[in-house]
Amino acid sequence: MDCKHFDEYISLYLDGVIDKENKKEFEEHLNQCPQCKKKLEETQEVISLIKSLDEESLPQGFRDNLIKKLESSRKIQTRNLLRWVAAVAGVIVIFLSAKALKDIKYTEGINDGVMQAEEVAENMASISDDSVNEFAPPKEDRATAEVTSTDQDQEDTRQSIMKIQSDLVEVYVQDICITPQTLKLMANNNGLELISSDENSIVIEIRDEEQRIILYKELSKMGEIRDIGENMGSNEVKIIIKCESE
Amino acid sequence: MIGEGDMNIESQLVEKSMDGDLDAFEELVLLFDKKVYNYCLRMTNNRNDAEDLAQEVFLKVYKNLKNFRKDSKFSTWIYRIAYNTCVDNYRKKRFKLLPLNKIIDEEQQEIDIPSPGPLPEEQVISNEKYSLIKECIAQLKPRYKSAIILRDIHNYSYREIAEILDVPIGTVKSDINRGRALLRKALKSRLMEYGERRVK
Repeated sequence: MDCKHFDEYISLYLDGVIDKENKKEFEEHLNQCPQCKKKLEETQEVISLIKSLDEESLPQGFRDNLIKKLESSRKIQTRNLLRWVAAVAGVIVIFLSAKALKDIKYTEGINDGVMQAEEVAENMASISDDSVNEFAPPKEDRATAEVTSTDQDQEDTRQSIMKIQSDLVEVYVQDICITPQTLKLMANNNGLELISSDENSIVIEIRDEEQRIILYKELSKMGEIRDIGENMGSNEVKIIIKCESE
Repeated sequence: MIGEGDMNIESQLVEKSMDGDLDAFEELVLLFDKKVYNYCLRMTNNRNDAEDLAQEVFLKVYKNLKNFRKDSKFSTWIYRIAYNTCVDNYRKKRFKLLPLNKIIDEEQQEIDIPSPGPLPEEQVISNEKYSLIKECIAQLKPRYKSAIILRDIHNYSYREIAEILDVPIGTVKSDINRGRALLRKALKSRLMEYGERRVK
């Protein structure tokens, strides 16, 4: 064993955990090398110095302080647990509220859906009315046949259902969404020429009887028609939007 | 050394503490607080730091009781927490630490060397040696000093130290040997400085 290896085994030797073979070589080197022997003695002195260091007593108040800290730590832990529980509860409340809101919205959605369906049904109804009007004249004919004997007023009433007669029409609407803009769109979609418009009415040009029928059909979808003009057969018709509450 | 009966008391207290019994934990503290404080004191060589660290150790132990696995000894677990706490502290304070060969400052001398009355020459040197060795230990790298403190002050075996420090036993062997060699050299040079100053 050389000095370098000797160094590595000093502590194992002093602690008595060196294996037999190395111990023998270690002791052989120890007897030959005074420097290494000195090193061993010095190390032994260091160890005995450390071993002889007195165990110091605890600083004053150490245990009391520690117990206080432990107790407040437990309180904090409990408080944190409570906070945690509260936070979880909060999250649950938020989640449930959100769910409830969503449910309400969903219900509203259903209501919207119902309303839309109702609108569609109405439109469908008016379409079917239209189709009755357009493609089932026999019904009207039957009606006409039934009323042939009635007076001219009745005949006029029957005629007024079919088409716009005068130059001034009031449309009593329930839906506040029907505006002059709605009328313009309707006119445009049906090839009716727009002459002028203001905040609650439009004036359109009517070129033939067919357009009077179309106008009647379209306006009947929006509300109740009152054909009140005095000038019959005019080629300009003013349509005034009236709310039913008015 | 802890006897068989003490072990039973210890494990009962650990059980109760783990069930949230603070009184049992306080009793457990009484079994270990002096040892943990002295371990921290040798690690830092500073009573205030040692007090703070030891208290921190027990707070950590208390908060982490649920993580204690009963396959290791409770004392081993406490010392591991103590070691980790001291290492964290060392990292925080590293920039403040002085090199191993620093000259003893006057303040340290006043604290550790009894000044009243003339003392025999040998007594002075012996006191100075204790003071120096404490200082030198504290200035070693944490793993070295921890291995030496556990071995030479707390009488743990190499295997137990390996468990506490969570390193292979071969590492413990070389750490202890390396640490002692550094202490031997440091003590030698410090005593020489001390002798020179006394001559002046």
